[in-house]
Amino acid sequence: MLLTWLIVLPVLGALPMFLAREQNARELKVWAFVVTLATVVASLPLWFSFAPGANGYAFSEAHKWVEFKDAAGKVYLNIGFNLGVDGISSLLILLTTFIMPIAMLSSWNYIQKRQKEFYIAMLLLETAMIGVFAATDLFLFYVFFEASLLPMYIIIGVWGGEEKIYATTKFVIYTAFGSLLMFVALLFVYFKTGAQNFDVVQLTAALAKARTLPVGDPGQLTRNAEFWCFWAFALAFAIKVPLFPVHTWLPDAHVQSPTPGSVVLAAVMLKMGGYGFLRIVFPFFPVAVAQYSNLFMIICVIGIIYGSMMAFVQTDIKKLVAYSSVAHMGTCMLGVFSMTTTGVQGGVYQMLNHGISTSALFLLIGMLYERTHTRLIAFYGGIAKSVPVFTTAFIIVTLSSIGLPLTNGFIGEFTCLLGGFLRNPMLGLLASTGVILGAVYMLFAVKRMFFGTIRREDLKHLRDLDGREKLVLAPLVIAIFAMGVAPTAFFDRIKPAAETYIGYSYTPEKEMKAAVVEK
Amino acid sequence: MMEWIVPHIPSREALESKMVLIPLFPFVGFLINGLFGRTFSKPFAGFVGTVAALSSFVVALMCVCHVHDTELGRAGLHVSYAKWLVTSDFSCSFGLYIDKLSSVMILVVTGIGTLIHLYSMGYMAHDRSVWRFFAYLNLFLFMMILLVLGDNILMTFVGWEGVGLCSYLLIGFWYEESKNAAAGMKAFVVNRIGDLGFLMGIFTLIAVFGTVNYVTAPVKGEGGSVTPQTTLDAKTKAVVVPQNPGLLDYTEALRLTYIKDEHSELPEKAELPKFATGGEKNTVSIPMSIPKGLGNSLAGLITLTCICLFIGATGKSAQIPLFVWLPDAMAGPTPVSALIHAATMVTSGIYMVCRLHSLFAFSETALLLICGVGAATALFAALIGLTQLDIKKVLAYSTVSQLGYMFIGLGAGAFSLGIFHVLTHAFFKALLFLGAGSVIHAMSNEQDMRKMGGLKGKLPWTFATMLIGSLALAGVPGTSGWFSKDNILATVLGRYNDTHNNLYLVFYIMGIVAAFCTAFYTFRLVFLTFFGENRSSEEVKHHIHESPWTMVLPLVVLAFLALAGGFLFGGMFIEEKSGGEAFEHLAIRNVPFHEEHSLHEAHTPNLILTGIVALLGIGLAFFRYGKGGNIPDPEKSNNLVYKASFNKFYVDEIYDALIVFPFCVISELLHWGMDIILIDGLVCGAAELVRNGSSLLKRIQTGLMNTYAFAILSGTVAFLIYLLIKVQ
Amino acid sequence: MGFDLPFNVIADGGGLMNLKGCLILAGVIFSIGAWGVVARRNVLTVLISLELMLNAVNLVFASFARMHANMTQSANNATAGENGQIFALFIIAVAAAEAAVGLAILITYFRNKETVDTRDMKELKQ
Repeated sequence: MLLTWLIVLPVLGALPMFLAREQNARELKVWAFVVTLATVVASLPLWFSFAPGANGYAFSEAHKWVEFKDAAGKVYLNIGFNLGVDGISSLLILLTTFIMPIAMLSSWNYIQKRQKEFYIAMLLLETAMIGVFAATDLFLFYVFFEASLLPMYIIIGVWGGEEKIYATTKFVIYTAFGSLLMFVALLFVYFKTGAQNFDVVQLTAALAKARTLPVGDPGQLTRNAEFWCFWAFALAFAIKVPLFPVHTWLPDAHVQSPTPGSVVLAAVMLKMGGYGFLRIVFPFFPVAVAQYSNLFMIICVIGIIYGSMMAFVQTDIKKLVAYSSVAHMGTCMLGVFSMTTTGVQGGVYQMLNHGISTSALFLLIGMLYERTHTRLIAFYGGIAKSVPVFTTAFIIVTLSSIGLPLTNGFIGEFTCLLGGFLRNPMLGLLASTGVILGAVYMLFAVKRMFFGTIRREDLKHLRDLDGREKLVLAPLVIAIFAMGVAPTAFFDRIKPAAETYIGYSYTPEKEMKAAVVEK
Repeated sequence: MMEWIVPHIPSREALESKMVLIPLFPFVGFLINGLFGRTFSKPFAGFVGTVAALSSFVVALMCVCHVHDTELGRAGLHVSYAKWLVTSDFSCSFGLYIDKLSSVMILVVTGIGTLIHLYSMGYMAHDRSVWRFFAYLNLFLFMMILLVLGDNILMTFVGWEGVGLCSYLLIGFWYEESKNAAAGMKAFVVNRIGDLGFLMGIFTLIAVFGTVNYVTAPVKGEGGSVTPQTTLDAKTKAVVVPQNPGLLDYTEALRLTYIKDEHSELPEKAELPKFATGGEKNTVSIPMSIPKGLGNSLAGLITLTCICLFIGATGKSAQIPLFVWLPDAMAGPTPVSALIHAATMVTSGIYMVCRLHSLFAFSETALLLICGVGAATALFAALIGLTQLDIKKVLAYSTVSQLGYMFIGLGAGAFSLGIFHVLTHAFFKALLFLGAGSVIHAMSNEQDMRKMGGLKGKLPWTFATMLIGSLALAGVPGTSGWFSKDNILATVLGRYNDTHNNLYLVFYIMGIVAAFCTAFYTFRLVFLTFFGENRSSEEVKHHIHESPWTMVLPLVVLAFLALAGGFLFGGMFIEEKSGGEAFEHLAIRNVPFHEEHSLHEAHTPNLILTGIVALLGIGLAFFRYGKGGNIPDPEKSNNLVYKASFNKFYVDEIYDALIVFPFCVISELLHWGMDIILIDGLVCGAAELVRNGSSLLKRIQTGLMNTYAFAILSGTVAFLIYLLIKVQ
Repeated sequence: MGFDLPFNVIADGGGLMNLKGCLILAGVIFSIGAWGVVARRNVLTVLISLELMLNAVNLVFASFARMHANMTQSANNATAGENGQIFALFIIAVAAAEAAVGLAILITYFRNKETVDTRDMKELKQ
């Protein structure tokens, strides 16, 4: 029941807040923070007592949820409230619960209006996000996947910047467009294969069976159908990641979103895309994956280079970081699409890293914005002198972001690129230019913001980080170094799951072997 | 042998348990200064940093004495602490490894590091944030120690990037000047370009050998293997490798398998041999999990790896085409230039090549490339050095040029001489930089040599020591610089005699010309700075004074080493016989010569030639600048070559025009053309389409209830009619 | 024409009733109601017209219910034709509710806008 509790806990916490009054904002903040902390505590067993069963899932549970029977009493729609975590999703849930209290703390002064509604939205968001990673039922996954959109829609749309409506509408329609296609494909897969329920593992088996049926059989999954379904799922997840060229919602959403929104968006919501590829697309459509994984690797490489170039020309520091996300997620997905164990391990690790270092960057930018109310790089200059602690923190996070050894970024980047290289050396080489470009755009921004002489009088008296802000950043900075020095525990955790997902991959030899066995 | 330094050498176990202290001391120093330094007084912050460096040096010295003690019979120390990264393709751990090669480097790093810490206590005494300086400096030492002592190539890479970071931080130490921060950033980015090559090299190594460890990981209780443990079984003639072989074990095995005599090479299509390991039946082969597109020829892959790794070295060691960052790096405080940008960090490229020298030895192509790049850099930088006016810039280009010599040595197959030149260069170049710092300190931060002159009376210690350093740099026979440079050039000439490859002759001539230029610009610097009339303003003149003892002491120590280093240490590096077995003292196997006499025949003509060019260069410098009054003024010169040299042959401008500018323009174009117009145009265009479509349809909506009712009614009627017709 | 419905006279206890007549009457009432809804401007009239239409439908339900009952009486089916009657009752109930709500809205609307002319009710467009 752990996972159910984990999902329900934030909602339960949000319930009494509906009854509270806006005037008690301070108590509300503390309450919401405590709820997220409680969720952290509740999620700790995912790390400490993770013991996967035979199917690779730990903490599995299954509940009846929706069951439609036709006149003859035959179940024709069976959606279960089935939960379970493997090595990858347990880490992503931990990332979610870890990030949420930080995001809550960061909104302490940032959010000034409608505070009650804000914290409720954040808690509902947390539920949806945990749900996405915990669901083993495809339909449930889809429900949570969509449900996470709504709070984020409100968070950007109500507490965002000047162009919040444009940004939030773009975000939701972009993402919903993809996921609706996914919904169609999902129903198609379910009814075509005649599966008993939406359980991902069973659907995978049913799909594998449907693929081998003879031509003309009504249940046969033709190559054509598989490719259409693949593209429907892939597009939904590619938008979420986001991969080039469907990334344009991200910069707008990030820039307009309030700091906590950006943090959650970058740290967790982007990961749903990569997770979806691993968890659903790889097992479901191995033939299409085998055919298109090279294409996707090329897309990732383009994303790395293109995202870096975009980041380089930005004048708004938040937009710069948003584009750097495109590049980083490109690296991450390169590892995943390399279909090598090392690459997938690195890809998942890079998801965690990106969650930590990019949200730290957004937090820092938010703190600066609270002080000066601008994010234009050109506005700053030389502030290292007035805010040394802030500068130190920013540079540490920058180093993690550009993958300096002994920070977490290096481990993820190195293994992702190694995976890419071992699959396709040329693409590995091109992707590795991201190492250079990352240093170029990040350090260029650091130089323009922090170094040089202070030109503006008001910047000379900028306030340095206060206690709460240090508290917000400390866990992230610690994680940056800890994960850079001791990645082994994570890699061991990811490995079995990664091998499972790669194990689905299609090779002609494998199909021949399967055919022989059947005979 | 070393008992006169450390009377009692502790046992291996005791030392191996203490090895961790070598990196730990500077790291703790960094933490103390970094976290609490703000509250320290200036001298105390410096004291903490210097003590950390000195302690590290003492431990390192004890370890090195052990490594070089012949009676103890072990060639090194190897400890492995914790697993760092374990994947299915490779695994590595945090491990420290001192063998004879790294012992040289570790002493240079910690020894000269300590001296420069001491010097900085005087030099930086008046700076606003001394604590920050020493924190960075200690962090640099820590990273450099990791680079040198790491027991796998990934650890080397950690140090490699780490020293790059410290270099970035220290070049931009005075960040309030935007120029300094820009120089730091340039250094970091250019280094990263090289790192890309290094990364590719590591990837290929992993693909080919499936390991990143240099040697077999140590087994608990037994200590580690410290030299390649690969052996040739005398009876069965089988090549035996240890279990879980490291890179050097593999290269040794390949050498024993294929390089039977001095004429054989690694076959183009090497059938992967099986090596015996751990017991009778067990065999192990090179993994070679090569991705498609890299080919499957072992020799080709090794060449590729070597070239990739060498690209990494060109970044860190400032070779063509990536040397442009080093002159700019002089924006940092002078002790930094001495420690990082002359003595230690920039030589890590040479160290890395030597660390894997047994791999490079397989690839003639890679060696030829290294030799060529080295020769070109040596000459090119020396030509630029001829005309520079900033005292630190002269030394910077001279550093680039000297690094070029080291690569010439490596490329000629004389790995030990490359390391030897690292050592001597560390002495005399650190000395020159510190001397220059002393001059700059005295001249109230003036760096333009046109405004100096006549300082020899006022700064006697600085003058004397710098003169010694200059003699060594110019390669005057007897000095340490002469020992190493002369032997490198002799080896190149020897290679020409041996192979009759005209390229070697070209490289040799480039080296000789560069040597001439070196002698000239070195003494141009000496004459302009110390001789003639003082050309500074009255106020500056008033403040000229000799530096405090903390600054003079390191100068004296280094001057002694620069003068006598060749005699003291030469025997460890200089080959007596051509080719043959590994050096007793360095555990390095230089590429052997085909003909025994090739090298010997080269020595005498080379000796004469280098002697002549050195003296010629000094003489010419004396002739032009020695008498005073002749002050260079490149801005007014009409000589195109002179101008080009003064403007560094416009390399920076060319890079700007060819790489930086197009990158900016293309990025900007893509941002507008691709992101905003094309992609967002399509996305928003779809939205616009819907909006316009609906505003057309909107007209149907009159708002009149009756109309709607009529529409519903007619719809129903139409449907009914349809049904009726269908029923028929 | 294809009106193959049992238009013959159906026995109804003692008397006779003409289904055809009932249906024609219902059609006429429905048409009047429809015309009223579409053409009249007074909302009150429109509401009354709506009631007319509903009642026309009721009439049809009731007629067919009776027809079914008669047809299946021989088969001893006691509940035959009940469905139609139930529906008619339902509709009466719903129509009452609808009229109540509709009139209430209308009154409120009139209080606010002082009009019951449909031409003035263009809020749907805005």
